[in-house]
Amino acid sequence: MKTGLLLAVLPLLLFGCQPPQAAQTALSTAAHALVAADEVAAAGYASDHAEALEESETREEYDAAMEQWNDVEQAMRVAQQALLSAQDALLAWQNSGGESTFRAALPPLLGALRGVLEVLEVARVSVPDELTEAVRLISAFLGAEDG
Amino acid sequence: MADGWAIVEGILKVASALVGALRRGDQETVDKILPTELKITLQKAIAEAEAQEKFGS
Repeated sequence: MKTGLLLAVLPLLLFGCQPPQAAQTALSTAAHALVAADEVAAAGYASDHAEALEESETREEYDAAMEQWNDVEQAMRVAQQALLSAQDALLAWQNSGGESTFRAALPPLLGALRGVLEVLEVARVSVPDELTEAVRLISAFLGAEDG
Repeated sequence: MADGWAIVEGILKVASALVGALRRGDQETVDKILPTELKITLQKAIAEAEAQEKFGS
């Protein structure tokens, strides 16, 4: 409990800045991480698609070969939407002081980013360090232990 | 005691990530960082078109 509290206030203790500024840093870091992961994943998708297309004799065979990559694509799209929603909530907090809306956007965002980490591991894509950092930062705002 | 060190280690990792983020000047809004379409989503669309061309559905 104490740890969670400390993690939650750590961004403020570190920078002495307004909460929305530290929150923006966390979201921006997560967005850069998603872009970095997208770069790696798109290359992996293209490479495995070319191989699957050449080797598959039926559509079903091709779909099965690409299933894990389609999971990666879906997870990344969900994370992209979750980030945009969290950004909207942060702007609302900055403009009208509605912190609770921002906090409500964090669990889905954290879940979405963790989902990306999981599918990248299944697809055996090397996970960018930035993405792991981003999960830690969002966890810090939730005052939760990251996993 | 081991748990105590794990907690300290966790806090230092978060602090390190935050310092790195601040150093990089990460105050840009998400909509300016993310592309409208992710590269993997575009890649999936290209792949789907090629798969349809080969398998016909």
